[in-house]
Amino acid sequence: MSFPLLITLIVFILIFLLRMPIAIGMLSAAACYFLVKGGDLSLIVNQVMNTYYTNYVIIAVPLFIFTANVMNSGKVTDMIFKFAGGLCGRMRGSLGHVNILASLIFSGMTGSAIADAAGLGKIEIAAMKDDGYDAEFACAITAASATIGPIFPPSIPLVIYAMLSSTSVGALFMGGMIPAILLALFLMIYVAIVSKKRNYPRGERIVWKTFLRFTFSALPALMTPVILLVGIYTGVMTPTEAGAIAGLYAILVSVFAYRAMGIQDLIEVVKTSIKDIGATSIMIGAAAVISYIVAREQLAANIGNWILSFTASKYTFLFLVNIVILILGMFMDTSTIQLVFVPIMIPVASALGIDMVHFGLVVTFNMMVGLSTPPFGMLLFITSGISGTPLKGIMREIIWPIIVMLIVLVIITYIPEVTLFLPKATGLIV
Amino acid sequence: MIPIRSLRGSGCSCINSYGGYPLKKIALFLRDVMEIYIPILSFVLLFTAFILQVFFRYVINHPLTWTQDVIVIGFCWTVILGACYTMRRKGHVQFSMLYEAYSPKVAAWARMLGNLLIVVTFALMIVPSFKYAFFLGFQKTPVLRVSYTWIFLPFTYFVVSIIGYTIAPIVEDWKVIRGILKDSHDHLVDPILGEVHKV
Repeated sequence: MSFPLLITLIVFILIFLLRMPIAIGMLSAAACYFLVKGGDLSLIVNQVMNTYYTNYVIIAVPLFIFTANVMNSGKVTDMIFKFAGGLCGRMRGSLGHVNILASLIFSGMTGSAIADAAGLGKIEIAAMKDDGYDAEFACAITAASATIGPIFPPSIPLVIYAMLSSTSVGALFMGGMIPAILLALFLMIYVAIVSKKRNYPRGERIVWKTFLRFTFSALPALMTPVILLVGIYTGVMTPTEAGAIAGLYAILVSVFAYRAMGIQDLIEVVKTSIKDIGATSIMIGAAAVISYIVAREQLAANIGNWILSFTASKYTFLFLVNIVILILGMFMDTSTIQLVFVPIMIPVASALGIDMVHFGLVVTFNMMVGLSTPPFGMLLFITSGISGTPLKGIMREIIWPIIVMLIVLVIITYIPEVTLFLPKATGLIV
Repeated sequence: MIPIRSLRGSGCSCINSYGGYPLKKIALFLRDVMEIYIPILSFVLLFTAFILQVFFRYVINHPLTWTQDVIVIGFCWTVILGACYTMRRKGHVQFSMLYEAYSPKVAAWARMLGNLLIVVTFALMIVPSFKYAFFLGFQKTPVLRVSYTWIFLPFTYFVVSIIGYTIAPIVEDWKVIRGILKDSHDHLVDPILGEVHKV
């Protein structure tokens, strides 16, 4: 290992020990590298800005962040919740199922697990608590179902992965559909078992007329994923443009259809979005500089050769990747894992002949499990915060949903067709 | 621009010598222009350009070319200047688990050392980033012919802004180390999660 790289690595460790903002810390680490190496610091500016200037696909990220924020501030979440309630009717543990179905529908609009848990989760947990469910169970199911958000298209992490691996966003979006539905299905089986065991209440009987009214009210919101997916797959718009169209549609739905937002609210939403965009996008830029250093020092190639020296089996490699990401997910934010560690794994996966769409969905799914794994699980913090439920109880209750998610992870890891069937059937990959 | 909070914290007399309040007000307004209004405007522009691009290509059947320039420039400005606002709102992703476990004094030392590292490395980036933006001045966007200087220059503001937002916490941590303060605000309340983790 060269001396400049060693210095970079030390600063990189300091980011975590000294709690520096990770993106800012990465830029500092890069500056240290170039200072020791004797290079020009303007290379940092060059790498960061060129990432933004030349990667057209990542412009979808701020657009989807904005869409998620608009959807969360209107009545959209209410409408989806009522509609999902109508679908589940008199089932035992109805609200648990509603929670999962609503997340699946909402995931077709936003592509962010945090948005799902913070917006929809608030209504879901309150309703479940009022109906006699354990608060910890309500929080755990909300966190687990929010995981569906970035798996079902559109998805912010999948857009970022597409940029990192030069994979088609359309193929990744298509590949995420079956895993997301599979996860929803498995979580619903889990809810059914727990509801029977704990005797959770049945849902209210809903007559057809009421159900139709709910459906009609929710229709503008339900149309979002349809417009998006049809638009992308008929070639009318690129996935990046779809982000803008989704944003426009979200404004039309919230401001005009539901009259839930005024201009002032909209400005506030843009302001919040700017803050979120700043946090996510600067991570992308800073990680690009680190990736440049990693490539320059041939670190990824060396790690790749090292891994390939003791395994040439893609399934063993995928197993190792899953273990590493699961452990990282227990302690780190998903953006750090995706932007710092995944780029090192991509060339090895490619060398082993793993399909990039398959690999992308495996790592993204795994990272999303990490949002619920203690001790650092962002979804646990959010559900705890919005409901006032102690973290300890949620951490106990989340264990089984995590096991359910891991079962789905094993399925999508070892049966590639689960992720590849739709992209192949639609001709997006061969 | 160095945030006013840090100037106040460091006892800078330049504001008071100019009558204090009006200058401070102007400085705060300019900061908002750079970190809130321009990113909002850039985002709205890029958003509108996208809508027009799809509309003109698909409905009118007359593809626009200038929208690409607006989108990319708008994106660069939104991200870089927005990241300053994120810093102001303490919204950047950080690894807090160890920091939370530290005692107030250890936490103060940790954050102060981290921030000093940021200040030093970012200070060294100011001139190169500024020079680089002007060096690229000869390059222009394909359609609107906007100089690359305008696209790259916000990075210099970003670097200066980050330094500015880092100074106040350094002062706060120094007070904790000296025993003037019991604990820093950040150590009591997580900037991203608020008091969530304390529940």
